[in-house]
Order: sequence, then structure tokens, then C-alpha cells
Amino acid sequence: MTGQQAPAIFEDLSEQFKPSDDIIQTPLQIKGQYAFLFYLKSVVDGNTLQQTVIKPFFEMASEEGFESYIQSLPNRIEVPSKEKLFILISAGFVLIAIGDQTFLLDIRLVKDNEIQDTIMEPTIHGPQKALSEDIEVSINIIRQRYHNPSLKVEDIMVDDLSNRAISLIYDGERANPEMIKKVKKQLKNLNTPLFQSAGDLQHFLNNSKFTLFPTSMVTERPDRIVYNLVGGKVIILIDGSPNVIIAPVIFFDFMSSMEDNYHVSIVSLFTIVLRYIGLFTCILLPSMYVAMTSYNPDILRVELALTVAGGRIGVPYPSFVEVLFMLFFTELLTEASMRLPKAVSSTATTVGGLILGTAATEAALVSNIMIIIIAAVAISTFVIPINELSFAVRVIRLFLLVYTALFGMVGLLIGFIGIVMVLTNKDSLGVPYLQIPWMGKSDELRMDNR
Amino acid sequence: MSRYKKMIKRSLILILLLPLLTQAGCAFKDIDKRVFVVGIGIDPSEKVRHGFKVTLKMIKPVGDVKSVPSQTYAYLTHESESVAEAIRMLETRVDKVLDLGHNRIILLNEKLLSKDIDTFMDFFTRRGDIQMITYMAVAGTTAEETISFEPETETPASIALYNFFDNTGTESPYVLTTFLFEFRRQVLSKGVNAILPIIDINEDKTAFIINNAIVLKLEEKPVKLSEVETKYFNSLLYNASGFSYKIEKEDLIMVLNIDTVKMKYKIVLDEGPPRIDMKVTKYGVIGESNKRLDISNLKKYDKTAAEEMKKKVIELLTKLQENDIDPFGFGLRYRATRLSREGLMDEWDRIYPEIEFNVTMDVNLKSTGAVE
Amino acid sequence: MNRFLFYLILISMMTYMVSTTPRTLIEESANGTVPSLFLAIIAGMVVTYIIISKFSHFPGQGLPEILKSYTPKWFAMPILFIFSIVWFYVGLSTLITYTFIINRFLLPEMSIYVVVLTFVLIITYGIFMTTKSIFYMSEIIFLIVIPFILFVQIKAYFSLHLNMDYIRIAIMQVNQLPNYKSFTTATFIAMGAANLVIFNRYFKKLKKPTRKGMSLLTLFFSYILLTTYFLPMGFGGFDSLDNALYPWILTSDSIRMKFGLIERIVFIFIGAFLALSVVTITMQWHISIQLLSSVFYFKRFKWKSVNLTLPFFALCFWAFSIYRAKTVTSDALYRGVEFFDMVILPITITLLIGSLWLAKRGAASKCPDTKK
Repeated sequence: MTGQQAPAIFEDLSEQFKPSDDIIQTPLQIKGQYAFLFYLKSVVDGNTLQQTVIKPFFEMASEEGFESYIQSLPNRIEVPSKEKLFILISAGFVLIAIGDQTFLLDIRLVKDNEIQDTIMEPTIHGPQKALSEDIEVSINIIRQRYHNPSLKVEDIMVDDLSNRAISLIYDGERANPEMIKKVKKQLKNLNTPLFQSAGDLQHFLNNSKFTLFPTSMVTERPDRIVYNLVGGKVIILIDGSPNVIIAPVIFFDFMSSMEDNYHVSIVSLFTIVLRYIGLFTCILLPSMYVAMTSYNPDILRVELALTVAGGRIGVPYPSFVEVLFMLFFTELLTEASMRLPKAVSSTATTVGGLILGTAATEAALVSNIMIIIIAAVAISTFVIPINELSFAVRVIRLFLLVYTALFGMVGLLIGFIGIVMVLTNKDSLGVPYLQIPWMGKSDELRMDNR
Repeated sequence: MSRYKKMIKRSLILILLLPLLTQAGCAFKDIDKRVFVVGIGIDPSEKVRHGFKVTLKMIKPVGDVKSVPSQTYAYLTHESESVAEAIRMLETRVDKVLDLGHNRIILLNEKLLSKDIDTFMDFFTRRGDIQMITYMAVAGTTAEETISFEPETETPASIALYNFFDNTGTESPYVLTTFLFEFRRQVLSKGVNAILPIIDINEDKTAFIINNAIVLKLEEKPVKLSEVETKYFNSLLYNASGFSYKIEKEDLIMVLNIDTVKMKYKIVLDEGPPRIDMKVTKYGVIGESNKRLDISNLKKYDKTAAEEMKKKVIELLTKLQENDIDPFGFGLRYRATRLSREGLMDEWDRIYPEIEFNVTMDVNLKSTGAVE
Repeated sequence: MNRFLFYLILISMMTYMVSTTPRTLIEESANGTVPSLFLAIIAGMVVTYIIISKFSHFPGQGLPEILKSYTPKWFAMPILFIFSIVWFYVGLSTLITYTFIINRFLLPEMSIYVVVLTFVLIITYGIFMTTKSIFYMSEIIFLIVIPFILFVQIKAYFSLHLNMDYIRIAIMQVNQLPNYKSFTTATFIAMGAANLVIFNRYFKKLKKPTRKGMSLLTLFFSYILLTTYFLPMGFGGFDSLDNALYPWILTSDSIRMKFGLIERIVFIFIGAFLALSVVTITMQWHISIQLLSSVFYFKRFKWKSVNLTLPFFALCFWAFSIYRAKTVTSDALYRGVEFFDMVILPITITLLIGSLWLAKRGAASKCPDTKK
């Protein structure tokens, strides 16, 4: 072959990728026409390559014709700088050199692009499909639900080892530009070698080391994403993760289920009220039991006090040990049923919940009122729609329990105020985490600048 | 930087929490380590001069409420110079903490009422954990006997005496309810006399009888009200429901069930001799009759009933006046309608014995019941 | 008017509803409290108006910034220091009052040291929050608590056992000359606007109070003040309440929730006001510590690049409050609060308004030597 040599960049590329066996560097040649291809065969769709590049090459009459053909392909992008080129090639792009022109074609082969069902936040009404693990498909889903030229999709490069594609999606007209700058800055400043999923990234976005309450939300629901886009929030997508991150979020976002929008107003009001009662129950009830049985039984009605006292006959431990004991077992139960395969988990719950509970009362290890309380607490924990918050609540109620065990009814009350203080003192990208939204969320965001 | 700040914070908190662990929890008393007092009876002491005999009724919790036939109580008695001291001594006789926070009834011996009430009542208002909505009552015999009586209708985990007074169980115009805070304000205020229900036990020793009341006079012998007087008093002042009244006129006997009573009164001084204008309006239905009634004659029955009942009200008011007691609080009203000045109450004390009562009774019968 | 300004004023009004204010007012009930109340409503609102409109000249600035830039240093520093002590003292007396209430009614067995710690641990976190967060927190607590308080008061106003005659007797004392003690005590609870000395930093666009805002505020203030004084009368009686240390606790204990989850309303009531008191103390100490740090800021008092000035002040607060809570008697507390209301309060308000006026003049003339 005396004709043309491959351009210098091809050498660099093969240097870079050696000794991988899946690099392909082929010249195409017919009647003095030359073209060079460079790609990784494991990530490139061979069929499409054959159909759109190789076959036309041999059918074309001239090099110029082929060049302008390639130029007009929809999946062609500009050749970027060298470092970025490496990343793109490894993601499944094909580099074509014709004469002294080089082109980059997106012929990626993505095997995980099927759309998943909603698992984490199921709703009865509303869409049943979630996002996909492939970022392109996910963006496609979002775009298809939000036809608006103001929807901006920006790719971000982050310094981690995996070089995954990260996209920022926001509505250019609604999102606060300051906020977008902040998010970008946060992402630039990440100094972590590797992150694998949206959940992972979320932890690194939370600046401080010890946090309990999440300050950005991970979701899989396209309808929630669109809802938040309209609310002026920024969505962060990561290739390879079926979840996205929504930022900034406030406390109330975690308490809203998408289902609220799909019901009649009074029904959804009812469910919202129910949910908040559930939240308060699962935070306060265990501590309340301790405070009322051990510090101030005169708060209860006398009949109830007698029943509680009767139930505790023969229970060897003080009330807070009793509560801790039972809470510990319910937490174990919840953890266990989460990790177990679906077929087994129902058995585990039955054995744990029913049998352990009954046996514990029979053996007078805990009082029967305690079982009711723990069951109520366990149920109401699951009412919280977003999982991250319900985890946080599970932890915070332990703190409250300790404070109550030390200080009684007053401890319960002041401890609760303490929780409110911690929440109000938090912020998510500068947006106050907990405050009463009187004026609608977007106005409230701007209130700081008054 | 912020890490160090946190470290300082954390170590500070730790240092401060350490002594806390030794201190906190000293008020931690589990509910099964407490014993609930559900009744306090006070009698004059037989052994100690000017002393009191305090009886505590304590409830024993049962493991399974449904399996026991009746509630079990424990009683403790101690005689001492003061109530506080007696209760202090009783604490040494139980293995658990005496919890007075659930006590809802204080029974007094009738003999104590003519003494200085402050000497024993002070304890109850001074202690923070005694409820101000405790019921006050006077025992028919001795407080000890009455408080330790257990009627046959009592079920586990519910206390019979409470049900009498708290308006969730029985409701009868004969049962007068006086709360501790009412008793306190009536005893300490000028222009009103405190009134308490009397709790008797029937002869078979099976049930309570609560249908009388007693009016306290400062350091003097209290005055008892009869059943009927109690009924009228209670229905006039507290609009007690379930009031029934029997009318006998010629050969017609009717029983009226009154469900609403409204009473308003005014003290009139400037028109002739001082008088109290009292206007009573009652609404009700006919509950029983020995004859067929005509529904068009309701107005007539109204009038008959009004006349009869008016007589009874005036009887009650005159009896109170003759004994120089004022459970209605006419004196309070007198004070409340005049600008304050020195000697206002002395004036009232002069006026009250001579005041006239002018009662207007208005009965509105709504129907003759389900039949004519 | 900004809603946070309302919370600022209302919360401090309501906190004192159960603490020392009603006691002082009722103590003087026969000596002209009623006319003093009406004077206090006028005075309180006038002072509030003046303070808010003075601060509206300095949007987004707290008193330290205002004084430091527009008045000479020898004037600014002592004033700020005095104010920080005053605010600390107000917070402390609130803290101790509530500690006593808890110790009396909720946790009689618990040591005062522990009760104070319960508060202080959380409040310390609170005073280091940003001013903005304190506002958000206070709004949430206020909104959670207010339904309970209103519920209790509505229930009280409609209670069958509320005797209006006692309230009318109290009103009939209107013909007395107003007395200074009741007047200042009643005025004190309207002084929430003075908290602007630091909280004005948040209000970037504070306007002069509007007519609507002021009339709403006057309405709230009158309701709170009159309820504070008269409602306990209706339950506790006119003559009998002057020896009650916490008239409102007694009042709320007199209300009964027949079918409620909890029968004794007093616990709901104490709980609600406890929450408000935590918010108030947090605000007051936040102000105090901010003022203090504007006077003394030890730049070299550091540990690993964290300035320890504020933690040091907080520690002083702790130490002093625990020491005070241990040693003070409740009588000394009342006398202290009375002294504060009668002497220190007028001085503070005069100083505040005076220095704002000076600062405004300084700002207007922009004299080179007064500007730093």
C-alpha cells in the first residue's frame, strides 16, 4: 500500500489504547480512494457502521462525494481536543479520516438502553416507566415529555476516572442562572476518584462530611423530573445510572409524592395530611411512650395509664430499653426484607413481625402496648414517599429517643425543636432547606435577595 | 477548617454531657413502679388533736383487663397533724412512688367543713401535680368509709365515682359537680358560698347515692340542701339536663322532661325595695301522663308547669336567704355590676337578708312526646 | 409589614402570657391594673411604631453596624455592651421562669441543673444559627403551636365553668388610678420590636409600619394582654388568685377535655408555651451574643484557626444561667423581673430610641469626625 498514510492522530490513539485487543484501525481503499477508521469494536455497533460508513464508501464514486456524505450524517460531531477525543473513542465513537479531514461519528453500541419500570417510587396512577441506564435514552425520555426550546441540556466533564457522561438539564427560562453556576461549580470541585451512580454523586455534592438529611434528591420518575424542571430546578444525569439528581431540594419535596398531582384535590389533601401525621408519628411516638410511661404518666387518661401499667407488669427493663429493643428488631426486619429476594422477604416479615412480636409479649419481655406502638411506627415510616427521608427519620428518632430518656417530656419537646432547628439551619445550594412556603416555591427562592 | 470547628463543638458537648449522664434520669420512674392514687379521703383525726386522718385509695393495675371480674384497690390510712405529713408518712408504706397526678376525687368529712378549710385544702392547691379538675365531695358518713366503698356496678379499669361526676357516664340533675378550682375560688371569694355534693351509700351496701348537696358557710355549720333543692339549684346554675318534674293538678298527673334551662337574673336596687329579678326559661316535652293529652292544650300545660315550678324556685331561694348562704353568687353579681369601692361587700351583707325574689318562669313544652 | 416582623413581636408577647406577667398584673388587681392595661396598649404600640420606623432608615443593618458607622466609638461601645447584658438578662429570666414551671408541674423530681441543661443544649445550637434560620425556625414553631394555644383559649372562653362575674368584678376596678408596676409589666410584653437591634440585619427593605399592620398588631396585642389578665380571673376568682404563682397554669388546668386524647389540657398548654419560650430565649440570646461580639472580638483567641470568642461567650452564658437557676428563689426572680420592668426597661427603650435618633442625625449630617 503505497497510497496514503493514516493521519498522525491515529498513531497517538493506538498508542493510548494499547494493548487493548479491541481497537480496530482499518484503512478503506478502492480505486485510489482512501479512508481510515479508528474505533473500539466492543462499543461500536458494527451493523450501523457497515450500513452507514463502509457500504457507502464502496458505492461512492469519489472521495469528495464520500466526504460530503459523511459530513451530512446526523450523528457526526465536531472533532474535539485530543483528551476529549480519547474519552469519546472509548465511549463508542468512530474516527474517520478522509484525506486530511477527520470526522467523528457516534455509532455507539449500548446494550442497557431498555426503559425500566418504576421500582423506588411506584404510583397507582401516573407513568409506570422510569428512565434508562443509558444517558441518551434518558434524555430522550425527558425531552419527549417536555417539548420546549428552553430546555437546555449541557454536558459536563468531571474529573473522575470513569469519565462518564454527565448532563445538566434545566429550563433556561425558569432556572436561576446563579443556581446553575453553583451546580456547575460543585460538580467541577468534586475530588473523588470514582463515582458510579446518581446516589454516589449525591453524597459528594453534599458538602459536609456528616449529614443526615439529604440536600439533593435522587429520583427515577420522569414525571417528577419534568415537574421539577418547571419548578426551575436543575437535573443532573449520569450515564449508567437509571436515577437522576434533582437540586436544589427542600424538605417538603421529600414529603410530596407524584401521586398528589393525579388525584382529586380533596383526596390528595387527605393523603398529604395523612403523610404528615405519619411523619410526626414515626418521629415522636417511641419517645412519647418513654416520656409518658416513665416521666409523666398523668398526661394519659387514667384508664389508659392503667392499661399501660398493667401491660408492663413483669417487664424487666425500663421503658426506653424496651423501646430501643423493639426498634432495633424492626430496623433489622426492615433491612432484612429489603436485602432478601422477594420470595423470601414476605416470610421473613411474617416470622419477624408476627411471631417475634407475640412471643416477646408472651414472654413478658415487652408490653403489649409497646407492640402496637412499634407496629404503628413501622407502618408510618413507610408512608414517607421518598426513601432517603425515611432513612433519615429512622435515625433522627433514635436521637430524640435518647434525649427524651434523659430529660423526659421536656426533652421530647425541646428535642423536637432541636430537629426543627437543624433542618432550618440547613441549606441546599443556598436555598433554605425548611421553611414555610407561603408564596409558592419560586418566589420563596428569590426571597433571599430582598 | 470546618472540621476543627466541629471537633471543638463535639468535644465541648461531650465534656458537658458527661456530668449529665450522672445527673439525668433521676426523675425516671417507670409506670409500673408507680402506684396511682385515685381517691383521697380526709376525716378529722381521732387520735391527734386538730389533726387529720387521710385515706388514700390506690388502684392496682391488672395485666389483662378483660380477664378480671372487678377492679382491685388498696387502701392506706394515716393520722397526722397535717395532710402533707400524713401523705409523706404513707409514702413509707408503699414500695412504689405515690402518684397523685391521677387523683380525681377528694372526699371531705362533713365535720371538717365548719373548720378552717385552708388548713387542709392548702396542700392540694400548693402541690403542682394535683389536678385542678379534681372533683370535690362530702362524704355522707366518714370519708374513709365512703372512699373505700366499691359499688357493684364498677368494672375493671374504670372508677365509679369518676363516672358520676365527669358527665361522660351518668348525667342527672341530682348530681352536682364541683371541681377543685371552683371550690377554691368559691371558698376564697367574697360574695359566694361553696357548694359540694354529698356522697351516700345505700343501706344494702351495693351502690352510691349522690343526690344531696351541702353549702359551706365560713367557719360555721354548713347547710344541707334536699334532693329537690339540689336538683333545682343544679339545673338553674349549670343547666343540668335530665331534669324531670311531676305536676299534679286536679286529677291530671303529668311528668315533664326538661332538656334546656336558661336562667338570667338581675339585681335591682333603685326601684323600691331591693329585689332580684330572675327569669327562667325551660324547654321540654311531656314524658308521662295518666290521661290522654290534647296537643292543642300545650300552652295550658306550659302555664300550669310554670306556676308549680316557680313556687319551688322561690322556696329554694328563700331557704338560702334565710340561712344567709349564697351558692348562686348573687353577691358576686352585685360586686360585678358596681364600680369598686370600699365597703361594697358590707353593703351587700346588709341588703341580702332583706332582698326580695321576683321569679318569672317560662316553660315551653315542645310536644306531648310520641303519643297524645 | 413583613410577616417575620409580626412573628418577632407576637412570639415575645405570647411567651410572657404564662410566665411572670400575669402574676404581677394580678397581684396589683385591686390597685388599678385595668387602666394601666389600656395605657400599656397605647404606650406599647407607640413605642413599637417608633422603633420600627427608626430602624427603617437603616435597612439591612443591625444596631452595631449603625452605631459604629454613625456615632463616636466612646458612645457606641458602652451602649452595645449594656444592651447585650440587658438582652442576656431577659433571656435568662425567661429561662429560669420556665425552668421553675417545669420543675413545679412537669418534672418535680428532676434537678434544676438538668432542666436548665435540657434547654441550654438546644438553645446553644440555636444561637449560633444564622439570623435567617432563626426566623424560619420561629415561624415553623409558631405555626405549629398557635392552633393549640387558640384551642385552649377558645375552650376556656366557652367553658361552662368560666364565671363571667369574676371577670366583671375585675373590670369594675377600672375606677382606680393606674399604677406604674402594672403599666411597665404590661408594656414589656409588647417590646418584641426591640429585637430588631440585630434582626434588622435580615430586613433589607423594612418599611415604616403601615396603618393596616399597626392596627392588626394593636388588635393582637390587646387580645393577648386582656386575655392574659382576665381569663385567669374567670377561673381562679378575683380575690383568690393573688397568691397563685402561675395563674395561667392554674387556669389551663381548670379546663377539661372530656373526650380528648389527653384529658388535662394543662400539658398541651405548658408544651405549647415551652416551645415558644425556647424560640424567644434563642432570639434573645442570639441578639445578646451578637451584640457582645460586636464589642469584644478577640482576634487572637483562637484554636487551630477557629475563633473561640463566640463559643467562649456561650460557655459564659451556660455557666451563669446554671449558677443563677441554682441559687435564685422564685421570689427573688419576681422581684428581679419587676425591677427590670420598672427601671431597666424604660431606660433601655429610651437609650435605644435615643441612639437611633443620634445615628440618624449622624447619617444625615455625615460629619467626618463621627464617621469611622
